[in-house]
Amino acid sequence: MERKSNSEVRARQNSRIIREEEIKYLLQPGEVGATLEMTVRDSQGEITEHRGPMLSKSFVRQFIELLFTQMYQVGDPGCGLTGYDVRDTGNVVRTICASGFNFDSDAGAGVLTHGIIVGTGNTAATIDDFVIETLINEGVGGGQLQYSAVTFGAPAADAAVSQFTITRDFANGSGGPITVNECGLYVQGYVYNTPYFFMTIRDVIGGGIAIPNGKTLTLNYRPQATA
Amino acid sequence: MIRTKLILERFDKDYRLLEKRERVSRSFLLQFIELLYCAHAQIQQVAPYVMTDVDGNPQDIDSDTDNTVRQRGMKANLQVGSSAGYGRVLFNVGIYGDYSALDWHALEADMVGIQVGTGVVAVTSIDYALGTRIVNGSGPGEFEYGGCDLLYMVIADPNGEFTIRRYFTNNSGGGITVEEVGIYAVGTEWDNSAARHVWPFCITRDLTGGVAVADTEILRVTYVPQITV
Repeated sequence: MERKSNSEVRARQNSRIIREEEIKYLLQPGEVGATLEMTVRDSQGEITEHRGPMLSKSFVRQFIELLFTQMYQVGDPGCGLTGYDVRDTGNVVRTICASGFNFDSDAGAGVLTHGIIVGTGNTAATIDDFVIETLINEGVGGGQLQYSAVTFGAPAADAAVSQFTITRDFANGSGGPITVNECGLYVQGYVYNTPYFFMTIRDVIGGGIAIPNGKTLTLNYRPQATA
Repeated sequence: MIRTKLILERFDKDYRLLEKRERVSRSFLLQFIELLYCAHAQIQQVAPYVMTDVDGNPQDIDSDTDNTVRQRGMKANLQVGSSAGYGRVLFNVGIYGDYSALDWHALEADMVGIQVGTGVVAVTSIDYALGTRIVNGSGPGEFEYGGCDLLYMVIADPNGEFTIRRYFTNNSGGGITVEEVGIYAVGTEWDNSAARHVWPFCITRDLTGGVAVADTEILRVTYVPQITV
């Protein structure tokens, strides 16, 4: 095939510049992380704002602690074995164990104990964060959002990246605009016969994302692994 | 995000260090994401998620423990800790309401945890096994697999990490060159039948560039998952 000189190279008519935040491969080979994507739609479903996918900055300590708990198969203190201490979203250290419930983020509509959670705090994340800084409550009152059920997209992969998707909608029926400055993921951790909840991801959204009254924010977290 | 250190150390039979290599593990695979998916989405036995095991066979996996009671959640998904060699290890796949009815199924210990092999084919995220796994034993081309240990969490802002490691002893009578390493983790399906409902799944695979382990020498493979904010 004849090689063209640089001056002969032409962009295809339908090509476009890919913005940095749209690049799919945001992690380096070997990294495990997540991407975050945000979309605001009006009542007709028309997109009025879209950001991402962008790199989720902040897996916090509870993620690796729950992963350790499963990989190690930490025993159940409910039958005299030594559990593992993890701080829950209520700022109480809970002694948990390996189980089929760990990482459960399958929350129903209006449930704020687990799933994707949003807030108005904007303090930078640290590894020790255990809760959203300033939670936006469920409801239609001032400053409140309506949380949908969490949904999941099944795993998918190409040669370099594998991922799945966690999605939640936040509808603003409060009568006024609400700006979401932070978001995170709460999951269940298992203690004998009692569910407790732990934050595994917290991200501060630069500049915040505004949800006008009557519009809905959709958040997608996509945990990813890279090869 | 999580980055993972991979450390390969070769010792003589008196545990004197002969060689050490340390780098970033490059390859977490689809099966790791799939096991996390089963946990996050709480996949139930009535609608299991199909994963490819290390033999290339499709297997139903769930996060279920009991369709009716669900009081206690014993479940071995993601387990990588294991004992040595061909010893039998029991993995919990679920429970019937109380500890009188735990549901256990077995694998040989060497099939769970860190693995070594001689395959040299480049890694992709959809690999489901090592290319050519070195089996447990003392025959030609075989390693004796030690237990797969996990050391406790160490957390100091902004980092947190834990350690997964395994010793491989060469009593084969000849040299063995390790070209690949990886981790096999457990996935289970809840079912109270006698059939096997636990399988190993490959969650990481890395090429080593070749580590020659002479007869009587010991190879220590260490993965250190690290979280950084």
